[in-house]
Amino acid sequence: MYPLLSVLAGVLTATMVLVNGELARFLGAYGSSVVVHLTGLIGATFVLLVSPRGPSESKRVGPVALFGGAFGALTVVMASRGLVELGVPLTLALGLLGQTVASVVIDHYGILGAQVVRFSWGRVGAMALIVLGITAIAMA
Amino acid sequence: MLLMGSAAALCAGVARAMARTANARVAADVGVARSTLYNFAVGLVCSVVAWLALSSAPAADMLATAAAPPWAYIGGALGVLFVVCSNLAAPRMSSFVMTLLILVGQIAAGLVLDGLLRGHVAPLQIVGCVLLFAGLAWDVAASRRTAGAGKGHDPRTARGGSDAGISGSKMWKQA
Repeated sequence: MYPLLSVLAGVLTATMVLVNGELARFLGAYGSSVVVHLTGLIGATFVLLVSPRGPSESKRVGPVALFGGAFGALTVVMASRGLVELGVPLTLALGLLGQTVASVVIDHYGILGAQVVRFSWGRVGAMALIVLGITAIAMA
Repeated sequence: MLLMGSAAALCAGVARAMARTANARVAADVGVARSTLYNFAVGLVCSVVAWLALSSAPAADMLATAAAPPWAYIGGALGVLFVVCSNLAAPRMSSFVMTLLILVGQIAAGLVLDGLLRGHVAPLQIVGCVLLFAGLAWDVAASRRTAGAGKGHDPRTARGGSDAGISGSKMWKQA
């Protein structure tokens, strides 16, 4: 169930790249980011209105609530910057590399409450294979 | 300039992983729906600031809005679904495994979309997918061995360290 949701998130990512890219052709990278987040805010409001409030939900939340949106906007801005200077395949490959390395660090230290999965040298071979696969896909 | 572009692209990847983790952390505190709302509210503010500060002609951008086809506007709705899916899944698995699973979906969908739009799929892409899936399976096996028998990727046993993480985990069990 949960692995499937992650795969679905990936399917959504690929579709978003295509759809947001089309919008960026008309509005530019920054303008399209504004429209995407505005329509997203409307959608999220709708989701909040229709979803039942669970008993475990508290209203108290710290400054961490600001991180997700800020990093999200940074993603869009940085990706579009890379896209302009490097083109699609290299931007994609470097973005995936950054994501892979960042998630290993997030896991190892349990950053922002992530479950701790310690890095071990036994995983290096597997990671090399993954990087090789990403490179092949990016170059195709 | 090539260096700047490369740094930006790497930065985008790091920011993507951080955004996912931060959103999941907020979702554990206030629920998936509310954290999704926060994500887009803060994202909108940041986007508007970046747009005004960095876009060469912001007003001219918006005048072009009418010219875009209607389907170009569903990106925000897809983004909401993405954040909901990712917020539900993130507390249940490591960030690294999640990156790879998202990648699997992304590449599979990319191949299908490429096939539909261009009518062909590059052989090198298929080779890359096979390498990627092999690496994923290898890594999951390797990190399970490290975590110890029976522990695997269960957040309730693998999670440790910060109090915040543990309370987040408890809330997810109740939800």
